[in-house]
Amino acid sequence: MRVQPVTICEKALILEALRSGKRFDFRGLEEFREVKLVVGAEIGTAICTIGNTKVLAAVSAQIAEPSSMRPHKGVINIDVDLSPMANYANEHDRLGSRGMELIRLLELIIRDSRCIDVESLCIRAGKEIWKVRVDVRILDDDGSLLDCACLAAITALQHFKRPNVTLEPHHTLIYSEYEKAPVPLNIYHMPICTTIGLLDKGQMVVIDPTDKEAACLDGSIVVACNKRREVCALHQSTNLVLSTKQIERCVKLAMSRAEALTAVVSDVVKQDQRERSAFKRPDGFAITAPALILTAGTVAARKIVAPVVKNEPDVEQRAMYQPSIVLNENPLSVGSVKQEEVDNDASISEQVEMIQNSVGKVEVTETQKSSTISNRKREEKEVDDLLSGLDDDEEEVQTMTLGAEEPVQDVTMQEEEEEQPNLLLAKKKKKK
Amino acid sequence: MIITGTLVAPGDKVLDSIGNYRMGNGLYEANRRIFASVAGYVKVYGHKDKSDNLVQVIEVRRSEDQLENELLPYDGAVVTAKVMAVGLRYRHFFILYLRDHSRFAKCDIISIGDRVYKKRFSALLPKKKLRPLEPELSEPFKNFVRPNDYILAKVCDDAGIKDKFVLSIAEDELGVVLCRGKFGETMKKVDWNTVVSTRTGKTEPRKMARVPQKCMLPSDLKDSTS
Amino acid sequence: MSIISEHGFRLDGRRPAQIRNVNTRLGLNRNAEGSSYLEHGNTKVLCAVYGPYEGKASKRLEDRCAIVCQYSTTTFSGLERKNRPRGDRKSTEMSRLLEKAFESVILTESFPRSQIDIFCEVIQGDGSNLAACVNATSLALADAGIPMKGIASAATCGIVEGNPIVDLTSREETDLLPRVTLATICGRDEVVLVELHNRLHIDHLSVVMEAAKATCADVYECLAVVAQQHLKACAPILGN
Repeated sequence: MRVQPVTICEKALILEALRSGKRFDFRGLEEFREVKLVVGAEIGTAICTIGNTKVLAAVSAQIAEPSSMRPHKGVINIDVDLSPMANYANEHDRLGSRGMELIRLLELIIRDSRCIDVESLCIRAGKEIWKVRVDVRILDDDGSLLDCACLAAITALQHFKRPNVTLEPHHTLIYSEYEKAPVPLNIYHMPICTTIGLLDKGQMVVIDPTDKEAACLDGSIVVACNKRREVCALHQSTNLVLSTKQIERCVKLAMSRAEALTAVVSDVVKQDQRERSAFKRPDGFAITAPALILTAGTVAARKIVAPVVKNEPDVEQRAMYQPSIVLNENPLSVGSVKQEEVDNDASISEQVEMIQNSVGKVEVTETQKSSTISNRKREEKEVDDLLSGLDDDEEEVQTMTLGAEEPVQDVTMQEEEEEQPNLLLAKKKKKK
Repeated sequence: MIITGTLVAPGDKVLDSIGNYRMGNGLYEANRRIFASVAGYVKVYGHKDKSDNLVQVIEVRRSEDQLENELLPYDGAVVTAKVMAVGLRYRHFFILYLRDHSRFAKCDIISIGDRVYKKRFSALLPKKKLRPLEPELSEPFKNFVRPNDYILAKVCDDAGIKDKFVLSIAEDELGVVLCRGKFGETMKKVDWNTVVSTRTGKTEPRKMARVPQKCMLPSDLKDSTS
Repeated sequence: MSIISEHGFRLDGRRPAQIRNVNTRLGLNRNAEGSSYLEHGNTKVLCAVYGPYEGKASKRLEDRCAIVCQYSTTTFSGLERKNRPRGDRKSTEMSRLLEKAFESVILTESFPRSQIDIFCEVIQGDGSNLAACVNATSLALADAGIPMKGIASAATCGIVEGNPIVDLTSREETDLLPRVTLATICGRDEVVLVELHNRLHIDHLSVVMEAAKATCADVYECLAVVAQQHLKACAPILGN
């Protein structure tokens, strides 16, 4: 699917809000979203969440032959999976330009900044090396994709432990984790990435933009820093016109963020370490599943009125809930009556009369058109039946919610009575 | 102070403020200052605008000839175009009806004066721009231009059509300059509204262009009737 | 061998703040609307600009001109023979950076629904390849007469022991040396392209930026003169 462009009024609104310093998630212009980091039960996996952006990273290692150019250096490969799951604008099975950019930036940050000691990944020079593969899968895309992916990848790399090996004269022995403890990777530093959005030719700086905000901004710049106060990568994602002062300011912001996040990553990994050494079974990703009860999406529970359950088999075919006013019914749904079909003015007026004169009539007054009982006509017949059996009571309507044990017969009849006139009146009005 | 004839590079400041000048081509404004956007010479000249006032226009030009300055066909330029198809809608697909109802002729702009473009530009020739006045034409394109004719046309500014250039052959000097018959033979001009095929002798109606004498080749001048 | 010797000279005899010789020729390619050949010392780059023309419908933008760049290195341009002149990740990234930089420089609003093609070929790469491409492209665009905000000039700068060195050669572009490629418009403080390799400590950031900016201004002086001289040579002088 093509990228859905941001509408002009939406863009104007977002820009106006940003210019007055407000954002739609109540952050300040220079505030980051909350970061949640979880490591999985399997070593070398991590999920990172920044606001609504979710990224999963998994690290695995394999023995391979080194390239002839670098016979004693291990290899780190990064693979990004950007699927329509994250954003419907992505193509399936193909990395668009965004995906390529993401891969390239991740390579720049993780591989080219040499945060992992690749020489320690060598087993036999020229013959066997460890090939570490980082698989990054984007689960949900809401801006700051690179930040999230980088954080997830770094955490996964910190968490990962490769199998222990010993070199024998003619072969290499790889030990499983039960024989010898696996060895963590040798990581020099942790580069943490920050996306900084720019507005008004760089005069305004918007930190950690969401997807919608990013579509409205002029451009963005990506800065990766580490705890040692070094800038690991500085990359512009879009066209921009900046001054060097602004670049320096962005770098300073990114630096403080990097220091904070490095602490978080180390904490998470250390805690997992502690749990594992205490032989506790790690929770893994189970704690990320939120304990939510599925609702219809509305804030307040909708009051649903259950229809009368009669012994007649015909009635049970009807829908489980009836709205009080029916407009534009779908003619395909079972048990609905087409507006155009109900042009028996006479029958409707008759029914209305009946309701108005309702005095404990239990028996069926009439069944019109019994000769031609088609589906729709049957409906009318049912309506007649119901109305004819209405009570005289004009009590208050008690609404019922789903899950009530005993549908009180009288009360429901009342409700039916209340509803039916509405239904019919509505039909009548619509017809007119 | 920038005087006429100064050589400027892109990004050089030309004026501190627009003052009484009007901005022409080759300039842009930033922070209320005027900068050059192309490499060229500064030129100030007087120009009568719509309300007939004489205004001083300042622009940066690369050469004297206006054709050299413009990268794309501009409004009012006389271009040579080839009629590719005649059809109903001007969207990406064409419903080719050989009959009338056609409202547009799809053309390709080939060159402007002496300067041939490397890539052709798509343009449209609407039905209402075929004749000076707008009469109700029946079968307009059959009588004026047909596919595979080379025409001299003028680029108009039509606000309704945004993605292609709009041409017009409403004036006398504009119209068909070269056409070929069904068998590829040349068609000779009989008068300003008909041509005759050299092979079959059949006449066909076209709107021929009254190209001024000084633009015509000597060979054409010989056998053209004034 | 250190980058800066104890007398303060670099490997090729330059001072740390000195740029290499700049040689240019414009208008070489008759087919292209604008073309240029640029040398920064031993780094030699050819650039050709085509357009604006009516591009592919898929790339067409309603309000602006689309800019397509191709960065290509010849197989004999580097120390080792390269099998693929273009299409590898590094070239695609360079192409993208060039596109993004020139989208800010060219006044794209003047040509809606058109396309401008820029082709850069590095014939001999001796460091500062991207910067040389940016400079060559600016000259080619000026030759084509495409309206721009200004001539974009670029330079690559590194830092060694706290001393900034400008206009790096390939021997100085090592894995340990942090280097920044910066492109500005007309030598002013408007940055259109910034690219960092290797890790740079934050205290050195401002030093490197200042040095890069000053170098860009120097390079701009050269390029502006070249653009004007070329125009004077090929176009007749306007009378009053």
